[in-house]
Amino acid sequence: MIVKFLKDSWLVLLAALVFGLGVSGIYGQLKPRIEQNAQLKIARELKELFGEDAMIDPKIDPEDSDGKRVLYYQANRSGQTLGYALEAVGGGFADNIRLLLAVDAEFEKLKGIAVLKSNETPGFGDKIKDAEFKGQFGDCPVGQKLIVTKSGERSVVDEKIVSITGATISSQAVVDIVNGGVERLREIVK
Amino acid sequence: MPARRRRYRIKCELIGRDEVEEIKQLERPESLVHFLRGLWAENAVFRQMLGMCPVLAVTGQLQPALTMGAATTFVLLCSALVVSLMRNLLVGHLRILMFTLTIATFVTIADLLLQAYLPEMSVKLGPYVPLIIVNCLIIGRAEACSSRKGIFTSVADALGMGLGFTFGLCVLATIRELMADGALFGVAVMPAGFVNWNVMKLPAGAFITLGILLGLTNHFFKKA
Repeated sequence: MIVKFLKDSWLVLLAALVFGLGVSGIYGQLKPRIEQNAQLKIARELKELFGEDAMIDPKIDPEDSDGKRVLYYQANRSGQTLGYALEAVGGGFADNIRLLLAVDAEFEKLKGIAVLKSNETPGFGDKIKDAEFKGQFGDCPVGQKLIVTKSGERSVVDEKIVSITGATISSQAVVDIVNGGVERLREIVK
Repeated sequence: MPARRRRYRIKCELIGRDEVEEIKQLERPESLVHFLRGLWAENAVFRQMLGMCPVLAVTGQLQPALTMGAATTFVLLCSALVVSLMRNLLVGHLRILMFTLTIATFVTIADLLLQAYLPEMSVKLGPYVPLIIVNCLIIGRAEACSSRKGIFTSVADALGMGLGFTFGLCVLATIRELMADGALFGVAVMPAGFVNWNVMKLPAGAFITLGILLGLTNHFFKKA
């Protein structure tokens, strides 16, 4: 029985072993670069939110055994705290949306948001990445929760976020992620 | 008239044009025949309608379409090489498992390479790179060619099919990007005042474009 099984499937077993080793070897080689790409993207977005000369200080989660997981980011300029930033994830229309949100040091205003990952509908939901929608979050007050409205002026800086036409769910999802993220950031930092 | 052309005409008059073409095909090296077939006569997109998922999903713009074509060609080439090498060891009922295992390995490698060297594109293509595993073009070529033919023929066949598939993706992407964004490779090319057709970005635009192209292909190239 076992002999027949081995006779039939030795190639499958051997190939699984060789291919598995090959893939893990390549992953081992490329992993540092893949991680570096993700960090560079976050660093680029943080510089855009806090300014080119801001010094970014990632605060590591003390409970993480690897000592790698970042709890939040603190931005400083010449010894002064400019603000804090956090990666936040939430459900979008098609897939999870991963955002980076930044608030000022006093937790009074949002510095802005950046979309790190989203798979929203092209032409509609993916407009959450456009400056026209994203720009509404710059300097928004964070004392009260942000709300989504269907009409209004996007250039007015207040707690009302004008949704994208045809993408109400994506717009609501971003606002919910930002509201939840700000609360979480406030709890962690204070 | 050159001597070669004159000989061709005499042969056509003696035994008929179709027969002369058939003999010409037979005289060509097998690998070249397989390579040329994939480019157009058996083009994956327009003639065989294989791998329709990426054809519809990632042809909104030229750059992702080209990347998807390159990734699929890479997987086709590598799996053709490996399957052809082990073709004499394949056991009937386990061969599909071996094909899938081989394809999955190279798709994972292609995905990792994209994440490492083209991270923006990897994010843009999202789940469609891992989904190359279920592209029936690749397993189809493994079954129809690589598991029966030698290395050179298999690799030439994979290259032809891969280039033909990339060509198909790029034709769709060119039309859709031009209509949806008025641009090619992200560079605006349409005159000022051109109104973007948003529908071309959406699945409906992909179906409409593919339908029209398939209709045109059948109209002009269908054998009598």
